[in-house]
Amino acid sequence: MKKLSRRTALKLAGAAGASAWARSSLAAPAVNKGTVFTVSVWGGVTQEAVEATIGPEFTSATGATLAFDIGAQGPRYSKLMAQRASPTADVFFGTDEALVAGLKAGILAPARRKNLANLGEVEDWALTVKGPDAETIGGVPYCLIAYILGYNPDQIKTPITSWADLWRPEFAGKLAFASQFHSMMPGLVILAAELAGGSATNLDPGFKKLAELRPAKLGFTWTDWSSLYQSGDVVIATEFDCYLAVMQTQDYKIKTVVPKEKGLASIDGVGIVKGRPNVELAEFFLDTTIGAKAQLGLAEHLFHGPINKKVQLPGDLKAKCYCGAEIADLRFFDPEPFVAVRPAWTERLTTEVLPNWAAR
Amino acid sequence: MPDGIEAGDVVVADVPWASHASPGGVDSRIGPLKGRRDVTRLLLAPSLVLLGLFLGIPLIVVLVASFQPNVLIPRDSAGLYNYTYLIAQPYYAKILVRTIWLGIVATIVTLPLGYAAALLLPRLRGRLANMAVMGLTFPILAGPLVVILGWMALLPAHGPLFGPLVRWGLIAPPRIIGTDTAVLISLVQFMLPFAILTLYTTIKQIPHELYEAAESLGAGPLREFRDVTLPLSMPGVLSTSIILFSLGASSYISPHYLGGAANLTLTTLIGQFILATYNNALASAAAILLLLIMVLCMVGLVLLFRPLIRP
Repeated sequence: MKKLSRRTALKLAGAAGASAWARSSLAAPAVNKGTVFTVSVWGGVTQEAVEATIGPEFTSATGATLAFDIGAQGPRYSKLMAQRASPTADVFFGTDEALVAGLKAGILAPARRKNLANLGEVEDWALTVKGPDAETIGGVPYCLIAYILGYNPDQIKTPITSWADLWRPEFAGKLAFASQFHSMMPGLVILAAELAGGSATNLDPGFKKLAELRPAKLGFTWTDWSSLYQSGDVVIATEFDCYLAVMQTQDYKIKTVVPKEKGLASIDGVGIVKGRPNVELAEFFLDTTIGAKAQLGLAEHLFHGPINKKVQLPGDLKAKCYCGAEIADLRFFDPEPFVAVRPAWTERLTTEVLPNWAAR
Repeated sequence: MPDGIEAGDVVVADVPWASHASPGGVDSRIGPLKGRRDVTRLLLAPSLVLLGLFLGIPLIVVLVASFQPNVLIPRDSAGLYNYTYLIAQPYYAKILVRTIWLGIVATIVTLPLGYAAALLLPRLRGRLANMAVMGLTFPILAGPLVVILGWMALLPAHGPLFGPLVRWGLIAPPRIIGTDTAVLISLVQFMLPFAILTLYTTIKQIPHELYEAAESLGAGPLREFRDVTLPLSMPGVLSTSIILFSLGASSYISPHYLGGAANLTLTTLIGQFILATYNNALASAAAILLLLIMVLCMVGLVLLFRPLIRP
C-alpha cells in the first residue's frame, strides 16, 4: 500500500472536515454560542449511548452542547407536567405511548417533517406517533426493542417456549414480572386474556389470569431484579431483550426466549418539549437521532434494533439486537388506544391483581 | 418545699424578672420584658414566613387538588369523592391500615431499644463514648438509601445472611424481601439513632442530685429507674414516639425497595399516583389522608402519655 504523506493526509482530512461542515451548515440551525441543549432520557447506559453516538455529531454541527436530565420515564414525564409553564428539557425520550400521551397533555410539541431530512429512511412500522396534520409528526422513533423472557438454564431444565410457562407452579415466588405501571403492561393484559380464552375486547379473563401469577419481584428494568437473580431467588423474568443482552455481556448466565405467541414490540422515541425556545435545534436533534450513523451507534451501545432502513447490522450484533428475533416474531400495538385505556386498566391491576400478588 | 407551693406547681424563680413582679401593680422591668418578646417574635418571623410560604401554600394547593375530578373519577364539580373512593376501595383501605400498623409497630419495637441504649450511653466514657455516638449516628449520615441497599444485599434467601444456612440444609429458603418484615427491620434500624439521640438528651438532663438523693434515701438502681429516670424521661419518650411514628408512617424508601410493589403503603401509593399514573387529584387526597392520620396519631400519643408526664 502506498504510504500516505503527511501533507496528503492533512489535505484529505481537511476535505472531509469541510464536507462534513458543509452538510451540517446546511442542515443545522444557527444557535448562540454556549447554547446548552437539555435531553430528558433514561439514565445509565442509555444516556451514555446518546452522549456518545448523537452528541458529537450534534455538537459539531450546531455548536450546542448536550446536558442531560436523567431518570425513569415516569418521574421525567411527571417533571414535564409540573414544569409545563417553563420546562427545562428540550427533548424527551420515552415510549411511543408516552409521546402520544405527552402530545395529548400538551407538554410535547410535534416536529415539522420538512426539517427531518432522514425521516424518509425510517421504517414504516416505526412511525407510530402521528402528528396533528400531514406536515408534522408527533415524535420520531429511535429504536425497536422486544419484551421477551429470560431464564436461568442451570435451574430450569424443561425448556421455556411460551408466555404460558410463567404460570408453571415451580415458578411461583421465583418470577420477576412487570410492575402494573410498566410500559408493556397493556400488552401483557391482552396476552393474558388471550391465554385465558379472552381477547383484547374481553379482558376479564386476562386480569383473572394475571392475578394467578406469583411474582417474587415486580419492576421496570433488569436492575430491579438482577440481585435476586444472582442469589437464585429469581429464576425467570420478563424483560426487554436489550437488557437481557446487557446482562449476558456482564456474565449473567441467562438464556433468552422469544415466546411462540411472539414477543411484544416496544418502539421508543424522542419528542420535542413544548414551550422551549430552540424548536429548530430540537428538530435537528431528532433528525440526527434517526440518521443511519446514530442508529448504528445506538445499536452497538445498547443492542437496540435500528429503525433506519439503511442500517445493516453485522451478524453478531444483529443476534443481540432483539435477541435474534425478526420483526415477524414481534407483536406491535397501536399506542393511541393504550393512552386512553391505561388509567382504567392500571386501576384494575392495582385493585384486583396486586392484592393477589401481595398475598402469595 | 417552701410554704404555699404545692407539688406540681410551676416555680419560675429562675426567670430573672420573676422576683420583681408585683401582683396587681406595674412591673418596673416591663419595658425590657416587652422588648424581649418583640425580639422573640422577630426571631420567629423568618421561620414562620418560610413555613407559610413553602409548607402552608403547597398544602393549600394539595388540599384544593384533592377535591378535583380526575381521569378515574370524572365529575363536574369539586367534592369529597377522591376521599370516599380511597376509603371505600378495600385494597386502598388495607393500605391505609398497613401504613398505621407499620408506624405503630416500628415505634413499639424501636422505643425500648432506643431507651436501653440511651440509658447506657451516659455511662460510657472517653473514646468509647465518642465511638458509640459516631456508630449510632452513622445510619443518619449514610442516609436511608445506603442502608436499604445493604438490606437488599443481605436479606435474599440465598444472600450472604441466609444463603449458607440454606445451602447447609439448616433452614428452608426464607422469603423476607417483599414482606412487611423486611420493611420493619430496615425501619427499626434507620429510626433507632433518632430514638437514642432524643432520649439520650432527655436522660442526660435529669439532675444528678436527684439520683444522689434517691441513693441517700436507700433506693436501689431499679427503684431509681422507676421513681426518677422513667417519670422524668417521659416528655422525651413522648417526643421520641411522635418522631418515630412520623418517620415510620411517612417512610417511602423502605416500603418501596423492601416491601415490594405489591405491598404498598400510603407513601408508595402517593408516589405511584404521581409518578406512574399522573393522577394528582388522587395523590393529593392520599397525601391529605396521610397527614390526617399523622395528626390523629400524634394527638393519640399526647393523650396516652400526658397522664404519665409530671409537670
